[in-house]
Amino acid sequence: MPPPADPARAMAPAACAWIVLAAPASRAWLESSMALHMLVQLPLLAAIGWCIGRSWMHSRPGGAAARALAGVQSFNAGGATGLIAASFVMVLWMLPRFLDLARLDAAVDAIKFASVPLAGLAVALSWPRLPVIARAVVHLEVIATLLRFGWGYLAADERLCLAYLSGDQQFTGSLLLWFGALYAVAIAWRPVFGGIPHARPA
Amino acid sequence: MRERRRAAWRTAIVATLAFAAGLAVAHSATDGFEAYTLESARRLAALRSPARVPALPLDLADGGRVFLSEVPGRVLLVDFIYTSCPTACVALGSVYAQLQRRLAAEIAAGEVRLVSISFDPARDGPAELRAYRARHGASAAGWELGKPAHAGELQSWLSAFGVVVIPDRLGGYAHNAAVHVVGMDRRLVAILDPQDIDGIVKAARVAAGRTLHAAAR
Repeated sequence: MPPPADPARAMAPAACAWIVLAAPASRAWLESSMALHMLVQLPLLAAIGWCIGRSWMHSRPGGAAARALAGVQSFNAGGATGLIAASFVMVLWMLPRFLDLARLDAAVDAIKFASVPLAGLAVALSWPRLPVIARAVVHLEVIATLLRFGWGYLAADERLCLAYLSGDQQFTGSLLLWFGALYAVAIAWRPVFGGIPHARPA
Repeated sequence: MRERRRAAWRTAIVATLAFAAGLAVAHSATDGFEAYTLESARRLAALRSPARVPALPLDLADGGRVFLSEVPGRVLLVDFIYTSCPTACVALGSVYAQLQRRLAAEIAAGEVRLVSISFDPARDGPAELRAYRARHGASAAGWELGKPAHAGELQSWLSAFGVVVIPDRLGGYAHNAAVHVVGMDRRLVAILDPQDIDGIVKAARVAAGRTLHAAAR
């Protein structure tokens, strides 16, 4: 992605998207089903934070935004702090108890609407600083988490979320398994099938 | 170089703090890594810090209006139903008929009373509620049925017990069916699976202070 001419202008669409998602009608719709809640709303909220983080990283050198970023990043060497914080946030919101609470309690949902974009922002700031090995570990952990949650929701005999029907839970579980599998293929594709690196001319 | 090393140290400290904070939040939000679902959370809360049941009026199927706190009986076994339910409530109905037989002595002694509350007050009138009880072959002895006296208070009833009712897309409702044990001081002291009849009988006797007698039988 080429650096936007004006980061503040690039942030505006992300803020608009957040407002659209937070509007009562779209909130009600996206939280009406477990699959939409977990696999559409949560990723979109994280993506909004990620976009804001990306445009923050491209802010004008020497400006206030760039100085603030440098201050934040001085606590985020190697991207460790950001990824640890983001992992806790994302895993917690995928648990049945918090999916339920977010659906049933507007105050809890407000915390979700604040924390999930912050997690996305943390990933955007941290990912470029992450060593290659650590990136591979994160990819593996994402795949494992998707498969773990998918299997858990699919195999559960009882309804884990009180606010969602059991058919919805099973559908979400199988989608999570598919997402995990597709993510694994997407990550492994280039290293495995990327072809032979170009031979260097002697 | 020095600046980089300093950033690495700072990060090590802040990342450790972030990890500790994450664990602390996860620990308290899951009741010490014990309750990952709302259902297990409410059951744990009943055991650890029993809350008072709401002081709300109930219209009884057999006539009259009472507050749940005033229903006679040392222990109340409360469940939430709707009479047109084809699944969970049918099971609950037969469970209550069995409890009525198993706890006949306690009911006769005024120690235990069964209470079924409808969360579908628009469809469930006194006649429907009485028919529901009759359908399970049960007498009226010690089994009260009722519905919230004011439809507007339904949500308060459900929230107080942690019951979540959602439309099941077939014209009915999905709900977390359970038997709620309300003790002498009218606190919710236990929430049990309807299938666990032995457990419910035991919990009712314990809550009524009948442990020794129960053990002797």
